[in-house]
Amino acid sequence: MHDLNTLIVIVGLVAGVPILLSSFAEIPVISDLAQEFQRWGIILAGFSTFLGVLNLTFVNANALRRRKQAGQVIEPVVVLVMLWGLVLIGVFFGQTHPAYDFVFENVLKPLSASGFSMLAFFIASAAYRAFRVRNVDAAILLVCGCLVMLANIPFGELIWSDLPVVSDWIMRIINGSAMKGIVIGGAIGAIATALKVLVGVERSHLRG
Amino acid sequence: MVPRDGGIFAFFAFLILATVLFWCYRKVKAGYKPYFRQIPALKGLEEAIGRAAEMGRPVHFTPGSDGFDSGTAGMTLAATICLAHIAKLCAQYDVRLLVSNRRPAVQPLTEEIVRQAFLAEGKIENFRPTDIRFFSDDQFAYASGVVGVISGEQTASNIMLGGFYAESLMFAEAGATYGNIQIAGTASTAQIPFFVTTCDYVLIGEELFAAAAVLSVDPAQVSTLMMQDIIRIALVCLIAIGALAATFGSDVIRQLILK
Repeated sequence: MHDLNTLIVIVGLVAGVPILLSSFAEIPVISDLAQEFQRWGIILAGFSTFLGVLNLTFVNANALRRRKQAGQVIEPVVVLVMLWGLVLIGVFFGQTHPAYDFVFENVLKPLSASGFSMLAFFIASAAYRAFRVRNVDAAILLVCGCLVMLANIPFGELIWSDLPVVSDWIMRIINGSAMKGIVIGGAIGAIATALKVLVGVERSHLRG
Repeated sequence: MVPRDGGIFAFFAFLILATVLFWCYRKVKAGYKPYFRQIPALKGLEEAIGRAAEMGRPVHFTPGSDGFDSGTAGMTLAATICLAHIAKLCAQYDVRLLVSNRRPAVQPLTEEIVRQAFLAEGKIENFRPTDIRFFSDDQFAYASGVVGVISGEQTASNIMLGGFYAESLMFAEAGATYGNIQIAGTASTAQIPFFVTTCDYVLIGEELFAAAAVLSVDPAQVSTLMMQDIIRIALVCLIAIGALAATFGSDVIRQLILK
């Protein structure tokens, strides 16, 4: 196991260094090597997609096998039929087959749109939770939130003409500076994590 | 060799970063123990898994929407490092761990991490490969899958670490509705407010990466936290100098960064 982990780190280092160097400068050999490794990455992603499909199949087949009520059959059957139906159509008739378009236009798109629109309700309930005044922080959040929300509706400007200016100041100065701090900290953390993984200092993800 | 825009500055910044990391590593190896503030969310991890053990219900974990092929891959890496610790705790407490993935490339890695953690604790019989699930590359198909797991499996705790987008609120609201203890961690600035309002503990921005370092088994990890603090101080100084220079009409720092 130890040798295997060392091998994984070496492979990561060999593949990672050219990609890292090519992000600093266009160096003919290094950049070509980096592009090649990225192509390999795409191939690996293709294989992992296949593993994902297998996992989805096993999980749903397992759910079918362990069902306790008749109603529990519907969900895994729909997933398996849609998944493998599309795979078979794609393999035997190509991706330009009308059935592909039909599923995308009439199933995937409406379902995705419904999922996205549900966010409005989730935001409303999260806003209710956030705006309950329990302490000073929540009170500040409530006041700032109300000012920004009022400024974003036409009625807000009628109440107080300077409301958009106040809202803009809150968003640009207070919110903007806090967000920039988080972004800078996050970027340093991401670089440090990537560096640790690249040189093999961090190995906990390899051994569990 | 043609440097890219900002490439020279980025290269030297990277060299400085690596040198500082090496220096910190040597210092920590020599016995130096820097002070680090406690991160409440890390204590919350034990609380969340302990609660699941008491209730006899599973823990749900998701490493977010990002894979390893984007600029936000660092968050996914940090999430998988934390997963190693979470899986170890779940194995120790005999708690079922459900992992939901959006990216196919993350699926085999998370499965192996959980398997190795259960194996290391001598509880491999409790590991079920079908508990590590891939849903879909599509954002809302994945979101629906996660909400389905939280509601269908009656999870006791919901842990969300990594990069998230619009689906973050759907997960957190579903977890809150079903009374889960919720721990979230992300550097996606647009999603942090949603997590703050709905979760019990939140790892904000760099805390996600710091948590990954703190949770790692190697004590030398401390050196990376030291490095992050030193680089942050240096950056704050650079920003202050840049702001002063800009105030006096000079764009020397901007030009330096763009080189």
